[in-house]
Amino acid sequence: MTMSDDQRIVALLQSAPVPEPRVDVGRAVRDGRRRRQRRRVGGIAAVTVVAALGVVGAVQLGGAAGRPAPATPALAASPAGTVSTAPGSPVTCAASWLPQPIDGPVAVAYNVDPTGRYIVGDIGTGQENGRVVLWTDGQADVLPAGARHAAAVNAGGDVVGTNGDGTGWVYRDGKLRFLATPPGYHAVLVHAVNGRGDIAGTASGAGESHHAVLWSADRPQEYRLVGQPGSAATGITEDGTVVGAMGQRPYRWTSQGTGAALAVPDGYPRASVDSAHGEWAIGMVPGVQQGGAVQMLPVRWNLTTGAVSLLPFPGVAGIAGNGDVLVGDGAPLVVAPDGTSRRLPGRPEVRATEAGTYTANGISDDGLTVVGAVYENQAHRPLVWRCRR
Amino acid sequence: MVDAEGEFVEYVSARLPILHRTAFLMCGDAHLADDVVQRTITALYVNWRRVSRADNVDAYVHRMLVHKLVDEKRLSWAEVRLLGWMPEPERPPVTPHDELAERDSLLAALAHLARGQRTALVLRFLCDLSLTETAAAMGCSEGNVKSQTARALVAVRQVLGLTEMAGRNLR
Repeated sequence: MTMSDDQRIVALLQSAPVPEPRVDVGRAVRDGRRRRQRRRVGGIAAVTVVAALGVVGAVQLGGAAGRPAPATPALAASPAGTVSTAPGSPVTCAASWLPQPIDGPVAVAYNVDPTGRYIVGDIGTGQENGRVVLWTDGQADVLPAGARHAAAVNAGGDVVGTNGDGTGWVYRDGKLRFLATPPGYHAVLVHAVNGRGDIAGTASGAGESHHAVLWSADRPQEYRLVGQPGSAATGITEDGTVVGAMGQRPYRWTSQGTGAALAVPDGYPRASVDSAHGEWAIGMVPGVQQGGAVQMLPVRWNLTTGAVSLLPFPGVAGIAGNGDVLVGDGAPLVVAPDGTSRRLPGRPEVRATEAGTYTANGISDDGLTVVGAVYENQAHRPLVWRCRR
Repeated sequence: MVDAEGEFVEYVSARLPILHRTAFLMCGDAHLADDVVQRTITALYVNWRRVSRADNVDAYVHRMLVHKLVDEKRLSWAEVRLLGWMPEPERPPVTPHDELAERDSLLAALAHLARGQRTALVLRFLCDLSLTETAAAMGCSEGNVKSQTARALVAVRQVLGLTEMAGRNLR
């Protein structure tokens, strides 16, 4: 077989020796996120705390595995009561601002503990100067400047996160301590902490090497590697079950360290796990190819039964211990395992109506506390929704 | 936040090798290629929601890459570039193997091409962009792409022909 000159040139271009790329996708995400925020940010948000009440109705979706939810417009500017078509009493939710102890046009609540008492977030200009804020019963404290980018908070108020340089940290009882980076790895990414103070994350090293790691909030300089090299941990439940990945397979480990693969939905090549609470975990599968990009689809596992199901939403932001899923983009929505859903009310004084004005990032174990932010007038303001049955 | 970001990471991780190869073959400088790819994917992240809806995402991204490369050249002439990190020591040159002589001579051939010719050749042959897409990426006319590509091909064929002859003489 002879190749034409053109084919030969193509083959040569494809095989010409080029150096290893030294490009960091994680850095692109971090830098890009900051740039995106900077672009949006103009003035400084005024700090006002007003409470608004809104009754939220429930709507029945066609089952959790049904058709994708129709694209919904952003929240109405004033919360109006809706008729409930779901069994049970309607849930009443109120959106209120979280106080901002320091100024900063990018102030966002990222996560909430299982009880709804502790909320963590960031306040800054959107550049690398954001400070971590811990709200306890609505009272704000600013963490020491050595802590950046909080990931999670537990029911005891322990906060964990990862600095931009790949150093993990834990903030407990007013003290900031750093987590050991296992030898042979140069960075960690901390994802979750449970009520026992078990901290789950992933250490990464040269090339693509990585390993799931557990730390204890008591002894942050000690660590335990979970599973084999190539493992990754992204979540931990109250009973110590770790979720993550082994290679390209979604995986779970018991608190004793016994690992098992999680199911991948039929017809999909692989799945990844993002977080877990109670007996539930959420993650993603690669869906259809769209013009060179892959549309990722959210999935939910029941860790007790092992069942996995695709969720009919463009994406999910969080999972509650009771199985409620938080759909955070556009207009925040909480969807129960039985498919009933409730939309979260807006704030009456927020005028912006485009999708994306409200974002919801974290949900408590009972599904009744949700935290997030409002983006309006070039500023993000932190927000909490508290609901009552 | 699992949706758009996951999509972005998935896309970029899959395309990183080809983006980097493209950048390196276009500029012939490993540091610059890293830098340009890093900036391209950062810009891509910022605009991901919009770009991911484009008809041909790959073509769009190659266009971003070419523009960054052009910007970079322009910047390095006009002002001092501020690096966000410490410059690393020089990398050892890519080691040539005997059987790879032809590939190396391709690199050498590329090194002698004018930048436009090089860019056109890489986009048309490595990235498999159409004439129209290449013209859009380079910000010039299709006729210009045609002539640049033709001239690049002549030069490359010459080098490859010479390698072949040299190889024969050796045997």
